Amino acid sequence: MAGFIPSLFDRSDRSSIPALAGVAAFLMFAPPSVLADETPRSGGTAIAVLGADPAVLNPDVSVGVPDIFTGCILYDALVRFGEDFKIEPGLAKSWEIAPDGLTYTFHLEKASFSDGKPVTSEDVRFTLLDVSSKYGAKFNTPGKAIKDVEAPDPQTVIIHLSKPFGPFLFSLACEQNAAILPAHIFRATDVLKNPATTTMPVGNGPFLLSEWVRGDHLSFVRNPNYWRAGKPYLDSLVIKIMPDSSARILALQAGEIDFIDEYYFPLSSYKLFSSDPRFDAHDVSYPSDDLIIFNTRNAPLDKPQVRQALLTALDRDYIHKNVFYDTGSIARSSIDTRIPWAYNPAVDYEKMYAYDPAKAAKLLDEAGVKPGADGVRFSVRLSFDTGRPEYTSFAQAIQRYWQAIGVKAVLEGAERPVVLKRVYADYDFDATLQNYTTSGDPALGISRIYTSESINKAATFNNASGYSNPEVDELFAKGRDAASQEERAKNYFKVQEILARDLPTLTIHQQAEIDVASAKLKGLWHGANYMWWDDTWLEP
Amino acid sequence: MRRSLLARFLLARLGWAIPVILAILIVNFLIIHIVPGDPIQALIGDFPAPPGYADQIRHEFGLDQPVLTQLGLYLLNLAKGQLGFSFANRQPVLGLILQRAQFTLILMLPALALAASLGIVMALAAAPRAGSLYDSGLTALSLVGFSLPIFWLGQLLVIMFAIKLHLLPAQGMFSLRTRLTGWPYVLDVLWHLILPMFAVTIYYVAIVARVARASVLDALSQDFVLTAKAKGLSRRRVLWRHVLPNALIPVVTVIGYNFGYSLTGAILVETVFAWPGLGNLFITSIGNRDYPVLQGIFLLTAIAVVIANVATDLVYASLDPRVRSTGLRHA
Repeated sequence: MAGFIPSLFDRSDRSSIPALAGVAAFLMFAPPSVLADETPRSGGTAIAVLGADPAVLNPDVSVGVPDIFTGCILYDALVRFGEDFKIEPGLAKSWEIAPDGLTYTFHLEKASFSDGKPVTSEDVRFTLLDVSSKYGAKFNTPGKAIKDVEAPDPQTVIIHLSKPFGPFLFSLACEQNAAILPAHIFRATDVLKNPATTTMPVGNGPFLLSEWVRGDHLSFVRNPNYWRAGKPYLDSLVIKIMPDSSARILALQAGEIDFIDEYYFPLSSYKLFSSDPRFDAHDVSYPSDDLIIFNTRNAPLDKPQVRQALLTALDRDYIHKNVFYDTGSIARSSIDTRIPWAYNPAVDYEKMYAYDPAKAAKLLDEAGVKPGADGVRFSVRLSFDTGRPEYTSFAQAIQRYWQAIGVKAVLEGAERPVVLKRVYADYDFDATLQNYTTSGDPALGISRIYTSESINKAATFNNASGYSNPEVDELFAKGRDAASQEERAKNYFKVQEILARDLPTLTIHQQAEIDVASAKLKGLWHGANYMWWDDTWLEP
Repeated sequence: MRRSLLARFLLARLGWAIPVILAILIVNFLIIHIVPGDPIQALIGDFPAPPGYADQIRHEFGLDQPVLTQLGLYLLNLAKGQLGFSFANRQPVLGLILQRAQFTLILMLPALALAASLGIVMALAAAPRAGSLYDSGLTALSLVGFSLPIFWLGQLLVIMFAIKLHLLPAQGMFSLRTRLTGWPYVLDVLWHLILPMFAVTIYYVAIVARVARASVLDALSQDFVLTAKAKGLSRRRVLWRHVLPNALIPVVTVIGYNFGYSLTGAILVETVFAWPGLGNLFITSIGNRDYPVLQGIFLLTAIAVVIANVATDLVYASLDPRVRSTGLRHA
């Protein structure tokens, strides 16, 4: 039963009694002023902002930020993330995992959908097999690991896996395309066109959609039958749509909105808000990395030594301070240091490839890439999305550093759809700047950058470099499938050593993901990246 | 006789409009499809989609067909009154565009009306005193108003009136924290209208005032003004009854021309003030490569420009007897 991730299991089984005792002790000993400040109160309307309307209101069929942000207000999943990616109970109040890691048994809360029908094990079965596995890009990999889902009684779900899958529990959160949907609404319909997907959700989450004025706002009201007693605290929640980032910042300063999600917050404004007591600027630590992906099909980028030289030629400290405004941190390895169990401390790019233009030039000489009459050794077409606020200066910094060793970077900045097509569908690039979320687990967010199976022109955000190494493939597969975290880590440690030598992709910077909220908005910081809106309350 | 002339004049103008709109549609269709970028990738987002998923969506929206087939289908549907289905918004284009156009008109109509009236009054006050301090001041100001980047002006207005003084709202068309209905709602919309309308007005008032000043100056030098003055008419009467109607023709041209573009012309102001109009929709649709919506907005704009031109001609006809009799514009 203990199996892997024991700490997660412990949390699943916790009773609410110790928590209540903790609250009672707090009430007895806390000074009155603290009580006045920190006791949640009901009522009020909070206003969050997004840059675009959601395309769909079904969080299982999309990975767009507005879609998941909105969908996870309307729906709950079996589990949810707490601080530091700890798995907390959701619609599943507890669970057991068989020692071989192949069978998961979940016990459901008594909850209902907004049309009054109960949430049952059949809904879970239908959702995971017929929606999440088929339409959820994030659930694609975990979905493949599922052999069967049993629903022995309405409150019990048994999931059988065909092989152990390390981050399986993690994959059952709403933001991983695993919100529990009403089977009676979706069964035998076209899921993508079903009105519950497009306009009229039938949810089980803390809020119900009450109005949607496209291009302007979505309004949500408290779900009176929400299964978490006494929640949500807010009477209503509004999502305002504002495509312009300066307009969002100004509206937050004017007090007209209360919350900007990290995806829509420009890092250049971080200092403005972090030093202002009227706001909380909070790094949600949902690790994502800024990468330089090389097209290893093109010479001379096919030589590891050339790629090592290009990393050695970059002053990552300058980039961290000036391009990313001193937020986040310098990357040390292909696996983000913020996933501590998987990061191999023996791998440190800052030591292995410390900034040294002379050494970089020497490496290129040794690789036989000599300067021509004009001093240029070769040129690199660097493709990047100009819509990402920091990426133009990121590209310019790279251009300057590479120029110093005789490598000419030709900047090919364009809008996002253009870059996606060039890089992922046409392989028409030499190097590209991209930001990949790690999803908190190497099996979910990092292996896709390097494995042969994720070289696929029909999809985006996969292995665009074309790098293919059977040893790396095998280590990532073992890391995903091993039954304990220690076993998983061993494989990831080894793979980082290989990738630090081969460097098909340079992990340059560990991005800070900063949400900014009005200081009046309380109880918001429970989730990693996505909010627990049911716990959120407004100070008058 | 006069009525039939006018009718013929109108028919001729509208007859021209149809091939013009058709040509605009075809050219726009091809331009949008030539621009690099893939709507499906924009739609799927940042994660590897399951195999076949992209193809399924591509097929669902007919994007797997050759471009010319797509064009033919588009024109066929258009003839049936269907503007297509928005990929990104998952709803029919027509309803989406009409809803957003209303919001844009709420912003642009009062702004244009205010700009036209203010511009004309300012020009009437300045032109008779050409070269005076007031006149030079007006010329300088209109130059500044015309040259100010409208998004920059918008942000300055927000910082000043919303953030520093807390007098006016920074964004949006109505309050979201407290929901109002009836008259309080109307007042709330007007309250939100002030800053964006001011930003638009400053730009257009500068254009109108410059054109109107020049044409008033021109009219003032005509013989009929001398005659009117010789008849002993008051200065005010000369200006309002004799100079103004003659000076209005170029002004009407400018206003008519800008009205056609005002549907999308407010892109920057709508973006800065998060006004939920057509300009805002236009920007997000470009990012999403939402072809049917872009096509729909181009169609609506083309129709608006044509209608505004016809309306301008009708106003000419009522202002200038020569236009009525010959159907020719003189301006």
